[in-house]
Amino acid sequence: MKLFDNISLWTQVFTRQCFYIMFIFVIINILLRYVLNINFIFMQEIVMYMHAFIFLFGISLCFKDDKHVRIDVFSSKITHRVKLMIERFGLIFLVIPFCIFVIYESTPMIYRSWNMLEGSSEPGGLPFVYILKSSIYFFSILILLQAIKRLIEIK
Amino acid sequence: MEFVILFLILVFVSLLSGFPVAFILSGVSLLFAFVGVIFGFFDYSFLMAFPNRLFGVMGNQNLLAVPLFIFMGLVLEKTKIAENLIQDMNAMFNKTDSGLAISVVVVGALMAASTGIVGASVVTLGLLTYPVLIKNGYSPSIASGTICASGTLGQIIPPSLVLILLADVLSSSYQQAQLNMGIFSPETITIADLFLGAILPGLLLPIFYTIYLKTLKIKSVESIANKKLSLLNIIYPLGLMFLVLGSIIFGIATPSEAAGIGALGAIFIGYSRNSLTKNILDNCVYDSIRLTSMVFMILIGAILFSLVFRGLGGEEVIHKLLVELPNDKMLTLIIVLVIMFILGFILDFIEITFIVIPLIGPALFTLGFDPLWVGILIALVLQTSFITPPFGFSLFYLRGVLPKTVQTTEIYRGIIPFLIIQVVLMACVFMFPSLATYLPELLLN
Repeated sequence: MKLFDNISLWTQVFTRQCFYIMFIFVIINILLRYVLNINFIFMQEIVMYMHAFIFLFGISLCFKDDKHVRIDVFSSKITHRVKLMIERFGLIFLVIPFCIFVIYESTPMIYRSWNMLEGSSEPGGLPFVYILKSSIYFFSILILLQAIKRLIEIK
Repeated sequence: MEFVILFLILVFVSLLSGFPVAFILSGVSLLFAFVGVIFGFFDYSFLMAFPNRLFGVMGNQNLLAVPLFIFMGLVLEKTKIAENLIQDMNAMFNKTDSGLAISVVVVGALMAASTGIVGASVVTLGLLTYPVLIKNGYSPSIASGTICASGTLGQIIPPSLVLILLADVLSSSYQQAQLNMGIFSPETITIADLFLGAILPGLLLPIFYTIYLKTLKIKSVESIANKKLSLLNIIYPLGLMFLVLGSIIFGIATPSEAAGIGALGAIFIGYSRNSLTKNILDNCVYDSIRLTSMVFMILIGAILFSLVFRGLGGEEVIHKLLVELPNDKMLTLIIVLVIMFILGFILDFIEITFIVIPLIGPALFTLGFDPLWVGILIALVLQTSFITPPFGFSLFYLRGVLPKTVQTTEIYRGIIPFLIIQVVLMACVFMFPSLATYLPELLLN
């Protein structure tokens, strides 16, 4: 359990830093364009990378805090035991297969990207598309870990 | 055909189980697809498009605005600007007929910039203004109706998150429709279009609300201590709204940059009133990360859902239902809007935008409807749906913060006049599309 908590703590720190970096770079981009009249593609791509990291990694945090929207029109009327069954079923048959599917299905894309050390399609862009694509792995692994944690915890 | 219907029913029923929507969408779609592969009615290769679609979301320029927009709203909320605004407005309007209720409408409209998700502003308004309204002789039904309707205004008044997400989904549906028709340099629809289009309907609604409240002629019982009015409380949110809207509309900044400017402005306001500490700021960032992730997970789930839907031949079914069968295309549009209205009872606007519009959009735009006009209609329909008894989201949120003595039927009764106003406005926009399209054409072309 300690390990799970540490991982979500790191994720939290990491996404928060990404958020601040994204925010600062958005502002710098505007200033550079209007004050100095220059435009750096790579700086816009930093914003894009940070944004992708934020939501890809943040989904596991949202999952940990149970903030993903649920439709609770009926769920207030069912007993705790049924709710528990739904939760277990959902974790085992919906969330975990989804994570495995994402890992399995995105592997060729990520492998290809690493193989050619894929860079930006824009001139002057960041040469790290393979890292960006690899974050899809983290996205699914982090959710997978949180799902396992909840599966152990719920009673 | 049968499989598509079975699939839709299965997803719908699973949604009602109360398991997170995003994972129902992704998980149930996958399960159904796997069963389909085993029994030979689904081609697995449809699912292989998923990684690329996900990567497309990661690089989407429109959606880049989402986290900063949410952040701006949260910071504004934490600076207590709404609270101060309400007190000022109350004092200002108190002497006129129904003045207090009108001040609630004005605040609801002004706070549009800070409302992303349905509920936040209804709760804030409910907590702060309901006791004041009751104390001054408003009946519980009128008070709750006013709060509910005003708190939901933020959905349609730009800059709102609803319109940003809507713009992104509409433009890809629209482009797809044009590609299907053989137009290979498709036109697009931007966030600026939608923001501009929403301005007139977004202004008319609070005006109609005010006219209705005026006819009630309710006099305040007690005079509210006319404490020193601070004009800043009005200038700040209004200024921020103009700053964000203006920079998008006049092409000074991209939507994400405008959101960044707005967020910076909100932080500035917070610091200038000493209501923002490093700790609060960190919390705002964390909440923004979680809310953003929630939105994107629904989008990711909706991608899988639509891939499976397409793999089952759902597109042809929709095309048949919307394009080939009906001979009156206006009737088709009305039916689509009614379906969305009903879906608004159980699904939030994010889900409806990401799930429903990609399914029906391409077929709808093949019929030649203006995507901008349809977009504004959808936004209005959803907003109306949120305040419609007995299932409207806003009503639930308000119910949660009102004293237990208030009958739910009283809330329902109070909202009905506002619902009628909504329907009238929708009918106006439906009959006179220029209400939605005039400003964008004027300013952007």
